[in-house]
Amino acid sequence: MNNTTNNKLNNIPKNLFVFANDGERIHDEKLKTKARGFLKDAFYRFKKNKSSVIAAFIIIFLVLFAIFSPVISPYTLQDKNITEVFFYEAPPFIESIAEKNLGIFDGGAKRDSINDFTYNKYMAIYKETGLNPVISIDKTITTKVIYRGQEREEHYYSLTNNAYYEKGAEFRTMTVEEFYKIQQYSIENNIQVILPYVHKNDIKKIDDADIWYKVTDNKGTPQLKDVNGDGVKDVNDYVPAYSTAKDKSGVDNSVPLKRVAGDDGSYIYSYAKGSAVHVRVNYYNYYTYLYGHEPMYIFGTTEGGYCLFEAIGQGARFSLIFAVIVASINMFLGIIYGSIEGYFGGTTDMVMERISDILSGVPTMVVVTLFQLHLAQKVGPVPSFLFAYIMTGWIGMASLTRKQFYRFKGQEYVLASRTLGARDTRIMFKHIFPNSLGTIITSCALVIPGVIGSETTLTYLGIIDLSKVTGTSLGVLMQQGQNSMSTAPHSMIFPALYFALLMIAFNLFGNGLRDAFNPSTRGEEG
Amino acid sequence: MKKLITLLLTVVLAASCFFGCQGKKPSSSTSDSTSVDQPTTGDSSSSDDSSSSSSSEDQLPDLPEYSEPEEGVYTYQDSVSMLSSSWNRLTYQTTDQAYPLDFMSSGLYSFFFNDDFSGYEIVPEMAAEMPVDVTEAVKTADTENKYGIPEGATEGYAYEIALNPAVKFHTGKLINATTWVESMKLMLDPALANYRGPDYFSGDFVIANASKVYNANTATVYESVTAAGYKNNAEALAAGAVLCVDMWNFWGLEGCVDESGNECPQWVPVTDTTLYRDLAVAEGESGDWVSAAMIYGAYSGYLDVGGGYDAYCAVKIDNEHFGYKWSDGVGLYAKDDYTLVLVLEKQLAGFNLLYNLSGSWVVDVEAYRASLTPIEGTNAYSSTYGTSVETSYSYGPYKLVKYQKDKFMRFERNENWWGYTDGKHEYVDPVDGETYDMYMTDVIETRVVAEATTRKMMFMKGLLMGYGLQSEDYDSLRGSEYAYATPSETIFFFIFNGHLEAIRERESAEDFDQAQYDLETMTLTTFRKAVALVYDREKFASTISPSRSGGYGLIGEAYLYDPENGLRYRDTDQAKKALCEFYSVDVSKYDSLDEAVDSITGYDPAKAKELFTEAFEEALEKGYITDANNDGKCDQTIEIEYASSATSSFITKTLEYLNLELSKVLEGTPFEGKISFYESAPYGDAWSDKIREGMSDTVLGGWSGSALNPFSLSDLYVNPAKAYDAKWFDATKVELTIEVAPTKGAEKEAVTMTLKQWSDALNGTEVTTDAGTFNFGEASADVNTRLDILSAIEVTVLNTYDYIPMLQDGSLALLSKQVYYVVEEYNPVMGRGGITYLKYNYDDKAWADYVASQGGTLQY
Amino acid sequence: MLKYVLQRIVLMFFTLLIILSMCFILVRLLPPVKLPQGDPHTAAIELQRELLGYNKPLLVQLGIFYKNIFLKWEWGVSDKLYLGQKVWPIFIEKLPATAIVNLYSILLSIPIGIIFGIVAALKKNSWLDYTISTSTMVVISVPSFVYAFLIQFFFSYKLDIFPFQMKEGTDFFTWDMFVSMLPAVLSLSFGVIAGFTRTTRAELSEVLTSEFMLLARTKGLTRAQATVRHALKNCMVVIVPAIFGEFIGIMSGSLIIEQIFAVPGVGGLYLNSINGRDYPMFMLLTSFYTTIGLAAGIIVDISYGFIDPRIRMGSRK
Repeated sequence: MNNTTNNKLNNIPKNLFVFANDGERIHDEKLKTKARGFLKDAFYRFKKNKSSVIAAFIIIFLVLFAIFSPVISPYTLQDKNITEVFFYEAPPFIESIAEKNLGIFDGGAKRDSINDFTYNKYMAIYKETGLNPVISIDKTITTKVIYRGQEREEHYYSLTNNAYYEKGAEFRTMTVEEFYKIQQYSIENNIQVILPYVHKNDIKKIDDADIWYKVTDNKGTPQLKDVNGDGVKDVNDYVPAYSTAKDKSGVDNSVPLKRVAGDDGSYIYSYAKGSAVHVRVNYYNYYTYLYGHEPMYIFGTTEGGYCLFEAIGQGARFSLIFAVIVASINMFLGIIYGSIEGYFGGTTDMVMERISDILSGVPTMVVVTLFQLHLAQKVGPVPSFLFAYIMTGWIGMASLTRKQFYRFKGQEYVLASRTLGARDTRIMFKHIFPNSLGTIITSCALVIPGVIGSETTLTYLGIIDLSKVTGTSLGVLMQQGQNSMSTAPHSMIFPALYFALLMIAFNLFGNGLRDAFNPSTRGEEG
Repeated sequence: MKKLITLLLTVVLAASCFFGCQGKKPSSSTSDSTSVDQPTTGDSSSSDDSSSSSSSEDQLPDLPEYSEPEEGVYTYQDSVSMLSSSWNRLTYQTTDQAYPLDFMSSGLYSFFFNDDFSGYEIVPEMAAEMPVDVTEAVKTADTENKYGIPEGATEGYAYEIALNPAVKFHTGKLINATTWVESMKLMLDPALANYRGPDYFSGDFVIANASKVYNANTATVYESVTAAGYKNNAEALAAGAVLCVDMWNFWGLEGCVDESGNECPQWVPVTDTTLYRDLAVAEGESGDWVSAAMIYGAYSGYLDVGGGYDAYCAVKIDNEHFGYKWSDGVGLYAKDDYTLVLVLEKQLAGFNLLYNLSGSWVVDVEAYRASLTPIEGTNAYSSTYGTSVETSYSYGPYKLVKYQKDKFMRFERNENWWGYTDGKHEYVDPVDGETYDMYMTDVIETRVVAEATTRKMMFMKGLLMGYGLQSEDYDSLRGSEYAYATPSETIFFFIFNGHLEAIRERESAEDFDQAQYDLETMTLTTFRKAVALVYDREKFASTISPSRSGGYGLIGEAYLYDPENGLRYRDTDQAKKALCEFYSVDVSKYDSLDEAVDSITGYDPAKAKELFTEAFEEALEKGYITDANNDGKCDQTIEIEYASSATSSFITKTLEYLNLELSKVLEGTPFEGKISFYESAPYGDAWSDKIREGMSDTVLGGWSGSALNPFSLSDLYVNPAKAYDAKWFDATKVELTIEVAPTKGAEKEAVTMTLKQWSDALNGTEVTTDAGTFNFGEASADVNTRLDILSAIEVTVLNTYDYIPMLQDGSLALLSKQVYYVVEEYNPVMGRGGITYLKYNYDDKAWADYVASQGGTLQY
Repeated sequence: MLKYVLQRIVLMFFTLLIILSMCFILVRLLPPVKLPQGDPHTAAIELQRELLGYNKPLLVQLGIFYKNIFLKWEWGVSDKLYLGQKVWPIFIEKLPATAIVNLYSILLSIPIGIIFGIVAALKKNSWLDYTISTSTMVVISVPSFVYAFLIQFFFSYKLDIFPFQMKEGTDFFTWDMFVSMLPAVLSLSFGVIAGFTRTTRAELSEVLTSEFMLLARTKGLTRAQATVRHALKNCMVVIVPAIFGEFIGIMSGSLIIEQIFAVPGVGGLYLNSINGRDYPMFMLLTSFYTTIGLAAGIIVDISYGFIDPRIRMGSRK
């Protein structure tokens, strides 16, 4: 063995050694590092776990979204200056982005099985309003079918339409002053809000504001200027059927009007109806007149016609607060009940278990309906809704705690502390409870989203409806979204996305908390 | 053949929370009982007509497990949201339950299209000829006056109907006069208390003594004071009748007990002093122990006739018909095997008689009796008749061959149906002049498809015959050539609470802060006129419910006053003048009456503002509201409660719309920002009582049914038992003078009667007033007089502003390309002919191939 | 152990009686569905209620009810939903459809769920683990009727693989019926798969870090052997009772899935019987499900004992 290399160490001279502590009194020094309490330590461990930190940020983002979404979107649910709801379940639409037609935020909605008649009407709307409802023709289908016994050819389109331009013209009745005000606004801003009037009798009694052209039958087939015979009807061949009955306009004809191109001054823009006037408005421009800006719905609109972006914020606010309250009450009750049950066992457990059996046995449906029928009027819907949750909500938490208690009751350290003479409550809440805290926290992390989830099902079954009380809630939005998923998918996607994000975040956050609070179970993610 | 069942004219206002069944199709198989429906956006789930037949040549023992679409077979694929579980002819309750009866029964008479398909004709079906009036003969033969035919009556009370001998069940068993009589015996059997029993004695079609035999087992009956023939309570008491008060409904004592613990019965004589513990009142407070005598003593005025609460007071009559037997004189017997004699209590003739006889009450009597089993521990009976394939007895074009609960039904042609071979069931197609057999459909398959989205997808794949358009489908599919509009008779109106006492009671409750809130102002007519002028009906329809349009009168567009020629009430001059009068349109300013009616919008924001200011002053004078800081603004807010049976997106959208429009008009008036609608907690079925009692303030509802007799509607607004504003608008006191011909052909003169009397006279009952006796029934007054009266009643009721008309109902549905209607136009009586006249472009195999050729998805 | 089980069974009987009596009275407190004023049929309804004895005092009616079911197994006749038909045969006729759909969905989802759970636990904090747990989260959070619709929209409408609804007929074991049941089975199993994945992953990862696993590895077991022999057994404490719970749950159909795919099962029966105030049907369903629920409670408690001897449910302090 070659130990020569370190022979220098064998004969170090004595005087090189110095006394570390020459005669001073030895006593503890003040700790240089700051004391780190249980919480601090838990927070430190929590920070180390990357996924739960991300989760924490997501939760913060979602909560901030809930608070600030009304600020970003130009509308609020209880908007004072909303005087009319225009677009129900319309897709996301932001004018500036739509112009770049990147395919997003362009209010695009799938419209399939559009026959020639409807397609021509869209083209007629385009010609009159200048806004082309059709974004893209995805497919044209020519099929042969037997119609009333004879075979014939039919022509269909699959389109992506702009749900906002698609509305074209609509009839409105308004006071004469309002009419003058709009005319003045139209002239100043050079925007055609009111279109020339078309009287029902001039278009074979058809009651449809979009038909501004003469028609040959009461189904609405347009009459063409010079009938060139070929099947394809060109919109420019339509003969306008604008009314020129000056005496029936019901307004002072000398007042300047914003006239459409090609109007030689003979068209009237209003028709007398009692003391008010009946007019044809360009729906999109009428919106811009009333709201002062073009429609801008980042997430589209809800079934009630409100901005979904803002509704999610409002709904989330309520759902979160409500879920936190319910979760905390359930947790508190459940833990107390479960720990007593789990710890004492024997007859107390037997009796308490039976009580929770009975409570969960009683059909919540009947009790909730009964509660709603008799007490809801006095107490109000939210408390009765709260009652529907709490009545059986805590039982799940109680059985979980009971299981944990049984699990840890037999452990050695509990026996040890009992032999040291610890009282029951101390054992329960000092030894067993912290150990089971991990699983409890993980499961409680899921209780909050669980409450929101079951709120959706309860709304779907029609047992409760929060929208009356608070405007809206996540559960209501998801339930409404489900009804019209095929025609307006956005109304389901955005609320469901928000809710899923919430679930993921809460779960990871729950795991992070559990690891932080319970070093021994580190790594056991829930 | 067209299935039109007895027309039940007793009308009810019941908000069904869903529009579930296919809209009010004219050929609804069962009694077209009139009811009110709350509007929803629910679509009419299947095409508007359904009854058809099929017969596969080789009689397969059981349905082939998975049958490929066959050559030459025409299958009608129908979908329902709720499949019938019991179609027992005597006990079914809803039209959904009666769905299978559409295909499995015929009536004594049937409605067919006439030759040029412009109208209809009535043809004997299970009967052999038209009914023969034998009132004189029966009256003379009825020596002890068992049937009670009135002395002066010469016609319209008794008929002889010759029966068609070829009529039999699908089992081959013949149906003769005894079957008809025995079936009616079962229907009215007092021990069974069949749900359908009252159809035969509580409407226009009243079989003599039917109600006596039906109620034979009930010992005591409680009749209203007037029905028992007394002028008022005092007269009844003086005559020694036992007057009782309804302790349950008037004082809410149901379930309360007296000292010795026995429960308080519903009816207690007014002289009875036993005290009952009123649980609603705290112990020790006054009124905790209360007796019938005390109640009657305090409220005898209210409980008296015309006191508004007389419905809660009745005369206890020992049912002198207790134990009444069928043989004691029920107006239906068999003269011989194939002649039936029908005796009526109420005169009925012409169209109304045949319309009522187009239904049938026949059951297989032996099979029905065998299926009756007593229910354990009760003295009620249950019957499994009409609950499965084996217990279904068809005498219609189709029979049930396969049934799976809540899932699926399959009907095939009933070979024993006489209609296939009697040569009377064919028609000439107006388009190609060929003659075709009716019932081209061979098989009907009905599935439960609860979700509208699934229905739409299946329809687009060619798996269903019809799809009712939802509001989101409107823009793209309204223009389709396969979309058919079906007008409905219902007008939806707002009922407005005017019950001052009830409102004061609500305001006196502790949690109602009079300084902040007020309800009384709602009862002012000026206030209600203002609210009515706030809404543009067309805009309300196009925004909230595109399939409907603006409604202006009380009687809808689909009501026919002359069914024979299909003439609509709304098209008459009287109806148009009535509207112009109510909406104060000066007809002279317009070129024609039609133009004047066209100018009606019911929307005048400027006038509404004036009226609101006027109402503000009026309410201030009456002390309903205060203006402490006299800034000209009302201190209290007026919150109008909308009585909702069950919440729905339709109600939420409607209330938002109402509040938005209202807030716009209120700007600059003393009520700015002070009035709003809010939705109540769900009341379920109790919503109608809440409105009647004035405990809730408004609801959007409308009467539906009895589309062929608009005159019967007047009873809904004047009869205290039915009118929704009975508690604050007593039609028995309001006088109405109309320029009308008192008897047929006489000169017009001013006649004054109370509203109730006008309505009763209009519907055929003799009314005697100090100015003489009048009867403006169908048989004793010409149509124009009746129209004058009906329109006058309509205007008077509108002027109360208890009902504010908003929407005219209607629906739009797509029809599959596999089939088409013989006639495109909608006939108010026949619809579009239903399954009877349905024609096919493709048989099943060809249709399956065609759908495949389109890549599986169709275009409409 | 046996004493505990016997005690539990006796107690279960009493709890059952209490629950049934409470339900009996509760449901009769719900006001009967009233026809509006003026409808002539109200008289017929009142007459029928009189004959059926619904106006008798509640306690008398309760007595009759118990006499009927215990002595004669007579559950009565349906008032509203199936007019005039005995309630028990209807329930039995409709039960198989629900049971079979649930059975298929359990057989499909429990194994998949456990496998996913194991994979996620073993490959902890890897990208695979993250994808599995995030997708589980999404699946748990989105309500079941959303999948049901998506499945119907894509598989039945767009791709034409499955029919829209379950086929009619009672031939439950033919191929066509099985294919027609798959959409409903899939919709039901998403939730179950997600549930089992999460539980297995949590239990397994907790057990993997315990000391005896270290011991097993030091004893020379390979990673796979240690996991299967020791770890999996340990997390059975939670998984087996959950499996029992699922099997017990077979009897109760999901209202929404059965409605969307027209499964002729018992899913919607419960809610309809309450809304329709169909007393006999409601009482039958309540008794049936409460008995199953309580029996399941006992079985699950006992199963804890078998799987993990250390745990004695109900053992004293």
